[in-house]
Formats: sequence, C-alpha cells, structure tokens
Amino acid sequence: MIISLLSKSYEDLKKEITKNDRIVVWTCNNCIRFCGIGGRDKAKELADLLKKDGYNVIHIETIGTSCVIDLVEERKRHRATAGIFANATAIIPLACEDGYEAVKYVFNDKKVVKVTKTLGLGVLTTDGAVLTAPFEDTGLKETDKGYRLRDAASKLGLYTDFSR
Amino acid sequence: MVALTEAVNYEDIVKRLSKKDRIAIVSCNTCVRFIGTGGEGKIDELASRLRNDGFTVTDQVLVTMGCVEQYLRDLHISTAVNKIIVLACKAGIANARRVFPDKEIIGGTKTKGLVVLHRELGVEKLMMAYKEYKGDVGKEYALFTGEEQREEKIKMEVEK
Repeated sequence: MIISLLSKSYEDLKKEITKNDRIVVWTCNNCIRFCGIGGRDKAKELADLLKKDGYNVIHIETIGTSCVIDLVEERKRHRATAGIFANATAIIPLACEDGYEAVKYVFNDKKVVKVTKTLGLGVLTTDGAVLTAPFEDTGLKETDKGYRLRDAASKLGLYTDFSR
Repeated sequence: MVALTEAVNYEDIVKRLSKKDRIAIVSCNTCVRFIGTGGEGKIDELASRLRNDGFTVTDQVLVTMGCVEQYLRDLHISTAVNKIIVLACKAGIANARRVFPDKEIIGGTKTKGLVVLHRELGVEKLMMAYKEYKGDVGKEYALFTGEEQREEKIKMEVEK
C-alpha cells in the first residue's frame, strides 16, 4: 500500500485556488483512504470546508485508483462525467503523487493542485496504516514495525488532515 | 496502489533453503501479478521448480493484497512450515515478518518503486524509485511480464 500524507495545510491549499475556479475534489478510494486523508468522506469534508469559505466546488469524483491512467481517462470521456470535467477549471486530487501525476497528465488543461507527499510503502494493520518502507529521501529507516502516520507527519512536517 | 518489483534470482532463493525445510509460497495477487513477479501462475512455477529440485513445498497461498495485515492473519499456513517465500512488494514482505514471527520469511522480489500504469497500452511506468533504482525512473515495463520497453508509450514528464 502506498503511504502518503498531506503536504499542504488548508490555508496553503486556498492560496492555490480562487473564488472563480470551478473546483472538482478528486479522490482515490484505495491507499489514500487507508492513510486517512482521502476517500469519499474526506473528499466531502474538504468540499464542505471549501464551500463554507465561498469556493465553487462543482463536483466530488471518487475513483478506485488514480494511478491507473486509463481509468482517469475514462472519467474524462464518460458521458456521466465528461461535462463536469469540461466545465471544471481546477482539480484537487486526494491521491498519492503518482495519482496526482496521472490526473495532471489526463487533465492537462486544468489547474491540478498537488496536496500530498508520498513517503513510500506500508502496511494496513488492524490499528491503521503504518509506513514500513519509506523512500530514502524522507530520512526515515525501513522498519517492519512501521511508523504511525501521525508520527511520520510530525517528523516530516506534513499533515494528517485539513482541519484548521 | 501499484508497486514495481523485480524477481529475486531462483538461485538466491535456493541458497536460503535446505532439503529439510517445510516451505510455503505466499503471493500477493495485485501489484506483483501486474508485473509478472507474482500471482497464481508464479506460485505454481516456483513451487514446481523447487519440488523438481527436491525441496518440500507444502503450502501455496494466494492473497488479494499482501500489505493488509488481516489478510495474512486469515491465511491457513501449515504449522509445520518453517520458511515462507513471499512474492509481494517490500510492504507485503514486511507484513509477513510481522504476522509470522516464528517463521523465516524469504522475499521473492525486490521493490523498485511506484508506478502509473495504463492497461490499454499494456505498460507500467516507474515514477518514484527507491535509491538503488533511481536510474530506472521513467522507464516502462510490459504488464504481466515486466519486460522493459524500448519505446515510451506514456508520454508523461517524470522528475528524475
């Protein structure tokens, strides 16, 4: 399972969008959900926060995995969603960095706002996700026990939610 | 979701086995299957080869995702098994060591990093790599075989 955390606070995210943007909050329903920063509920939480602050969130899109490019392309051309994406000006993907790249690749005419940092691979334990195989550039060592995501966020200056 | 792996040489696996061992082979059925380093076929292939070479493979188990603890806890591995060869990414192998602390875990793959994949084009592209494989970032591999592609099919800029 890919382990990612939020690289931006809610305040930082807001600096990258405008009140004129027509925003789609995009989320994977796989790894990122297990990391506690994505999935349907988290996407709705973010959309609600943005709406409350006067941003124009036009849609929430949930996808199994954003790192499968043809699944993302399907959303762009499917009759149920094509119109929404044609109208959107900004997409906020709650996905790992690979997922972000795939969304940016497919929707190359949109502002795609990066909000996550991918740290490596990990295990979904019965107590939640842990990071067991961090990329070396995180400065964290590989460990079977794994790093709890709150601890990893604290060590690396990242975020586990958008709460203000 | 997708990690890119390469197979560990058969000889390197065998070096860690003895003819007295009771061996299980456990494979993830997700990322490793996509790149041809795991899945049911690879379990059968490895088990046959080991048996032909005189080793005792008692258990062959396919698990949906090797990186989910509960999935491994729910497996029924014979109590006599003392070594488990795991065909999964680094996370699946770590998970096996966590769940089966009384058994020796032998990783059957090495993890290169994370990919995007395109099913219609039939390739995976390495996007983020562990240090040892940084030089492979941007390379593409055929789905289900892992064969390195000469021609780029996913025209995506990759930070190297």
